[in-house]
Amino acid sequence: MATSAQSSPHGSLKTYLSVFIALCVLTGISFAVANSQALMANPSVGWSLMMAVSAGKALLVVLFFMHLKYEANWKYVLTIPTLGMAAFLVIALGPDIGARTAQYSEERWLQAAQPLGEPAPELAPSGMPAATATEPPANVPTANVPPADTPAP
Amino acid sequence: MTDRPHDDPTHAPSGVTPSSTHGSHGGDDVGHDFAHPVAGHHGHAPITLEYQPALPIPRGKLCLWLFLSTEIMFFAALSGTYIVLRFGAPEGTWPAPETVHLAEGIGAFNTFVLILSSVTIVLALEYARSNRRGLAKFWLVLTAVLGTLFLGVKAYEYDQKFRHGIYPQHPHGRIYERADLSYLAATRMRLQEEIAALDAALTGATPAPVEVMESDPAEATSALLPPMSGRLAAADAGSSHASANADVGADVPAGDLSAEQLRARRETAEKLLAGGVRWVEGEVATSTNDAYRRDLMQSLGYLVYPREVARVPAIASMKREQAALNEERPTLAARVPELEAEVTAAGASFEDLVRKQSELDERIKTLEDEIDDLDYDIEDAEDAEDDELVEKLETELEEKEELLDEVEDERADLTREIDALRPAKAVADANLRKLSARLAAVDGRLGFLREHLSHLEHADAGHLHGLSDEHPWMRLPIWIPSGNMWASTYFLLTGFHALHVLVGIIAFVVMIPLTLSPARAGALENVGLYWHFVDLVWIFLFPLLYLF
Repeated sequence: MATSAQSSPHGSLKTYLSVFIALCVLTGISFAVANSQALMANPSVGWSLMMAVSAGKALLVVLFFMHLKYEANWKYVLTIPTLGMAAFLVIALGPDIGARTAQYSEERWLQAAQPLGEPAPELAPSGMPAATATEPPANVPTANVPPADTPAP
Repeated sequence: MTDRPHDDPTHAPSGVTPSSTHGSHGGDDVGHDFAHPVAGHHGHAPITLEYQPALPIPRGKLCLWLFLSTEIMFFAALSGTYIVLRFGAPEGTWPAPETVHLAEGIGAFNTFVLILSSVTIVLALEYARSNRRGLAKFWLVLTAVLGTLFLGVKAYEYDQKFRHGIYPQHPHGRIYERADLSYLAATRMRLQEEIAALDAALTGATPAPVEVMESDPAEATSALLPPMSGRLAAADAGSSHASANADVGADVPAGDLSAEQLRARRETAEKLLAGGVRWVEGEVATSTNDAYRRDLMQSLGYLVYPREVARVPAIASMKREQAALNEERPTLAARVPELEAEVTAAGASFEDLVRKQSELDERIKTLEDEIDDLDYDIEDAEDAEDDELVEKLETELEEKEELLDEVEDERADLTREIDALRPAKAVADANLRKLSARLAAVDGRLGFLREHLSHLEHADAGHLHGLSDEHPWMRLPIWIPSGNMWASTYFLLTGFHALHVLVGIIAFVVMIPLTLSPARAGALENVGLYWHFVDLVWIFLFPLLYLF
């Protein structure tokens, strides 16, 4: 098709199709990595792989679809400082936002998102604290007593 | 074009000289490459005054690339912030994709759609360059269609989130960071509100709506709605239409609910309130065992909005509780006759004394009557001047008065005794009442645990179907650790991306009616560059959001 006499030496149907297939395959690889028990056993391995794959895909798109492969050196002027600034911003967020929980006070932790607790070791085998299990019923507050006419389900 | 211009493009901006040949180069920035005239003369030409463009590319393309570099910073900052927030969240809290109803498959499909649309737009450009306008138009239209498909899938995904109460912001958002007291209180209040609304709907359904309309305009509006209160109807409207409810039997459109269905809903809500929320609140208030309190609240949170990681601990803690309650129950049941006997005994002696008291009251009355009679008799005798009789009667009167004093003393003693006994009886009564209430509560909780444990154990592993899915009409608060931060960043990232997709589609639609000749290739290239960038962003968003 357009490769012949036209002003664009870059890109042919064949190139575009190969890039397309490569992108699909790379997406499949990301998917496989995310679902692989072995690679996600240490999540940072899987995450790094997925990000590397994404960077590869981005490179393919930029080089072939956006024709940067065929552009003059101005491409570096516009892309490299930009990426540097973006990376700088992210790195700058690290110490306070990224490491924010390191600065949490005890009070702040009381409001923080609560991860799922491991089964508590201090729990009696019955799971019921002695106080509640054997306390005379007279001490039970009315708060947890359902209306008397509520039928037991 | 691969032979790049001799002079460094970065030095070019200062290269515009006064007598530059504006006529030959200015104005046209579409499909014209400025590199050639510069490259053609490099090195050999004598010093002629010549216009040098800032960069050896058309101005439109230059502007677009400048715009794209700001866009790169914008999206790099956004997704970088997402990464920083995600990995900075308290450990183990960031929601897994399935927790927040993100389906990898759907994300992958959308990735495919965008990649495909990148190919189609690049084909449109190539055909426009080679002046095959029909084909160019075909690929351009296809690109627009693919972009729209992407947005459609995105809308479906958003709908899934909204349906489950995942919003970036209150009041719609129902996400709680912790299964704590405020979560419990919010759940209780929601249930109470729902029950009140159901009650209103149940009672409001009976009177004829016409009468209401005539009397009160405010009520008339709600009467115009199907036989539910306005609030309930509104609550259901959000979650009632569409396929997700096909598997939720109870969740039919609000208007179709019969009184029976309303009552069934009310019963379900009551059961959850009593056996779930109120029980947990009571235990949490009285227990001193922090682990037990935490387990109780977390298992409630899990039942409402289950997460795979929480499944095993939740089942374990519920089983522990079940075992403990099963142990407690016979002790409680054994105490019932004991307390009943106490109450009866206290009641029996109490009644005995009360009976004696009334007997004494009668005796006092009789004595007082007799004294009155004697007084009259004495007066009569004095009138008759029968001194002997008067003396005799007066002695008798004195005896009676002494007796009355004695009986009154006895009665006072008895009253004191009864007063002493009264609190003991009240305590015995209260104890029995509390014991029965506790027994009923334990039975209710055991029933609740039995029902939900069997439900949990029989559900196929990995299928997360909680109370919030089963009864979407309850709109229960949901416990998703770091869920608010997740929702904010997710909607911000995907929302900005979707806006870019929308802008791209608009650009395509604007270009579709144009003749896609080589003269338009420049414009098409620019739109294409923008579109590839949108694809590029998604390439990073997909693994970040769906796979991490």
